[in-house]
Amino acid sequence: MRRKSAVSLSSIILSMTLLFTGCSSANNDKAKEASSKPKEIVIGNIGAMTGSSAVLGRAQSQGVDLAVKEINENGGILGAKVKVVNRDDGADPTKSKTFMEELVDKEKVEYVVGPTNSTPAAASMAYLQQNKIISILPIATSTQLISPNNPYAFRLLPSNEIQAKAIVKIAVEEKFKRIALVADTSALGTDGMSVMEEAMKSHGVTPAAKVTYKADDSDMTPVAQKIKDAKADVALFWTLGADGAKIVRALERVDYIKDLEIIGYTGLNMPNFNELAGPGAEKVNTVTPGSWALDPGKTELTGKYWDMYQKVVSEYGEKAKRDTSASMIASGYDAVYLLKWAIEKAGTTDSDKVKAVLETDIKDFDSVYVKSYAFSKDSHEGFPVDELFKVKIGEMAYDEIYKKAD
Amino acid sequence: MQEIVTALANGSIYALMALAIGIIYSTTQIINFAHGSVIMIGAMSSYWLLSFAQMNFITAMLLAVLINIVLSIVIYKVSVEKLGDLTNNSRWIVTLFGAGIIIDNTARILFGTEPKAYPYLFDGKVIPIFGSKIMVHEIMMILVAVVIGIVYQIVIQKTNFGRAVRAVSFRPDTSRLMGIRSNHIVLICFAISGAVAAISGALIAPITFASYTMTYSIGIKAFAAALIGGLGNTKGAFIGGISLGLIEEIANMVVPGGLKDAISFLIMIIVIIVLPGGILSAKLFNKGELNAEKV
Amino acid sequence: MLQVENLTIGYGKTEVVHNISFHVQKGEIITILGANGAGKSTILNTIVGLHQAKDGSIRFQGKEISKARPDQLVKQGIRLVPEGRQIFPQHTVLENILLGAYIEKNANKIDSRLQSIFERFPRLEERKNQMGGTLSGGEQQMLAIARALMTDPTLLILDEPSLGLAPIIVGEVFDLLKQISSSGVTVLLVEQMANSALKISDRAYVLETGRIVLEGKGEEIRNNSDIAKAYLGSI
Ligand SMILES: Nc1ncnc2c1ncn2[C@@H]1O[C@H](COP(=O)(O)OP(=O)(O)O)[C@@H](O)[C@H]1O
Ligand SMILES: [Mg+2]
Repeated sequence: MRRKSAVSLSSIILSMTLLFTGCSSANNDKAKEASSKPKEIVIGNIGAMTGSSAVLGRAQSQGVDLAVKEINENGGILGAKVKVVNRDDGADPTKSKTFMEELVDKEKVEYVVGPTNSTPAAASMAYLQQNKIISILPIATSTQLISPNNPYAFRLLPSNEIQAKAIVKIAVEEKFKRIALVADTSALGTDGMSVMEEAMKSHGVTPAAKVTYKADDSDMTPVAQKIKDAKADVALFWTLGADGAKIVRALERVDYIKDLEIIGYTGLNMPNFNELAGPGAEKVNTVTPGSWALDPGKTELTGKYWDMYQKVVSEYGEKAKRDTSASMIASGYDAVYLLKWAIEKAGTTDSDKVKAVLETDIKDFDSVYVKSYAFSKDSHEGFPVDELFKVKIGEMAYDEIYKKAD
Repeated sequence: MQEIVTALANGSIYALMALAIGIIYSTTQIINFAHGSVIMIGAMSSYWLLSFAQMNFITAMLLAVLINIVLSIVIYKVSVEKLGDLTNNSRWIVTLFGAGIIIDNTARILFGTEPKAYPYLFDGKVIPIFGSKIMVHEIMMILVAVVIGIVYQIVIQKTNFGRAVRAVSFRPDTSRLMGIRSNHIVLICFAISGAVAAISGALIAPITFASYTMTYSIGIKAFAAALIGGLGNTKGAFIGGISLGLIEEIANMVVPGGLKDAISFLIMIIVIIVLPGGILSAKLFNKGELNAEKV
Repeated sequence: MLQVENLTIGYGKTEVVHNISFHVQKGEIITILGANGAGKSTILNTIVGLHQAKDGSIRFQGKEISKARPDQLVKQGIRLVPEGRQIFPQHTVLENILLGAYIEKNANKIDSRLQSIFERFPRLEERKNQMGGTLSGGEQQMLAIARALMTDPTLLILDEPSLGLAPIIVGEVFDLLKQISSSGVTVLLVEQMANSALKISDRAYVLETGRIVLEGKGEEIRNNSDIAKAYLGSI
């Protein structure tokens, strides 16, 4: 018995070794294949096109489609046509991982845009790194996605960490003295709470209160009471929209909303927040990319951002019709143009060379989502902390473009 | 003061939900896992009738009650009656969970994912009592729950129908020998529970907001309240609901937020272990008579 | 009045009553005798619609009833007093009796029947507000019969009414059945304790493991000690 199992074990190890060497040699071949004169460039576009996150996935796809259409009409990338292979992971991590393997192995994609949601992205990231495939994340915001473990991943939207840094920075710069941190006890909330605390530490301030609650709880009075008891002058909300609105109502009941300013991360924003929160919504702010917010008194964004907005409207219609967010479409659009720019600058599709261009020359890229992406060798977070602006929640033009405060 | 009113108001809702669960449990020995979804439909449909069809509150409520009655009857016909004898199969666990999921997803498609602001009764009017702000809505939550509880008690104890419900819940086969159509009684109980759910929905929706997930967290507390008070026991449902409301409010004051539910459920588990029949099965409440009254 | 032909009944795949036939005529008292497990309750439950036969026919006043529901049969005048009495212990005595009249919507009829029930069973009137469960075994049996009488049945069926009762009470119960019979109600009875039952019976059938093995006048069977030994153990 013993002998037999020892034999089979060693044979398993042997075959696994063979498998791995097989893999790595395949990788080498692939690296050699990359040439300066590609015939066709295949990009995988993956995300939730159906289900409750569909508005995000569709925004990404609309941006990608728009960019690819333009690029192909104007000679492609390095003379090669761009082909997009779409996959709908329905925000399901297992599906996402399977699709990603299929995209890489069967469809031979060389670059990936997506996945849109954070958990599917986390699930399929490892496979992309093994195969040295550059992926641009235009939507997902979970902090951990961008790390030295994922050297081929680049992110465009402000991550949770960047948003936390930005709202803390705004509170400190506006000279608030007693800062309360509010987050739910879900993974998302816990993550948010810890990045906000770290950001506070870096500014040398301690929170006046740290208030947690269970997501989706119906009674938020205790949360409001704790904010009041701490005599906070500002509360930083790492809460989802409906919960945030319930807390605002509770603050009103404990008679404290008038003494308080609230700044929330982007998750707080939802279309009918003001209606849900009632009159207290007056005191609630969130943050938004500065290039996609209107300057005081203006009705148009500046220059290329307004052009991009017009392009989105003419292609996909007004907000009410398309449902997806124009700035997210811009992010998806940028994702493809970033690849085009970096490939052409590198003169090859070789992923290490393209990656090096993204890390070192990014200031030359002309973005329609931000002023300038912040990629570097040390960080693949594209969104600069300075480009998040405080805006009053719910005060929007065209249903989707925030107005900056005067 | 405000804490007490909040505790009582939340407790009343748990009690109403526990009552509706108990009405079905008492005649069928099954737990309606789709109950949270039925409450949600009550709230969502009255919301749409109020805001889009511009109906007045009473008409909208009556229609929502009607919709919920029909929905509950459909749930019974499709996911309970078809299973036949319930004493020796537990497939209802799957069919009722399934029904809940189907209802939730249908609601998501019909009404969208976005929570809606549901109006408070009396426009959210606040009255000062002993220096704290009490919402008329909260007082109404308590009143409505108490009235429904009392009316249900009277129906159950004093009417022909009530006698039949108690009979079916105790001895379904013998009840049939009396000429009672046990499955009609069960059907009516489903309908009543649907009607109560519509009213519960309208009362909690201003607090949780109206959305297809509005009862996800509160629904489980209704089961807790039902178990604390003793499943299928009307008075127990009220005692369970109110105690849960109070326990939560106390937990709020002494433990960090987010742990409240853990405390409440810990207490529920202790109660179930110590008194498997619920609080009302304790000797204290029975004065040596028969075991706790069934309905 | 009641015609049972080639009736076969089972639970799942096991057959417990095999191809039996018997009949009850208007005004008779009929007893089916059989040891424990012979299939007596199965037959009665099938007649009143609680259980479905596998095969055969049951006719009541000429109409096929083998597919009818219990409530329909109650309306047609068939009432079963079930084995073990099955009163509702947490309903009051009065509520138990009123449940018996569940299908009767005419309040006057209910009142007058209640009146005559209380005349017949004064003990029940005394205890009408007591919980059913607090009654003695004999009182519970009276209650179970009283409950069945609330719809003025034409065929009263009783499943071992003597079960678990003291001999003196058993006597009372059978006296009562004789009275009920003489008031024009047809009675079908099943029993293990043959002696007292046979005394009041016009005819009797003997059931052994789901088959009728003997039929005859009540007195005949009672006086035939061979039969007693062979099929009924002791009488
Ligand atoms: N619900 C049931 N399921 C399966 N078998 C049953 C059931 N009820 C009775 N039986 C079986 O049917 C046979 C007859 O039972 P029953 O009619 O109760 O006999 P009796 O009333 O003569 O004592 C017995 O063998 C019994 O085990
Ligand atoms: Mg029997």
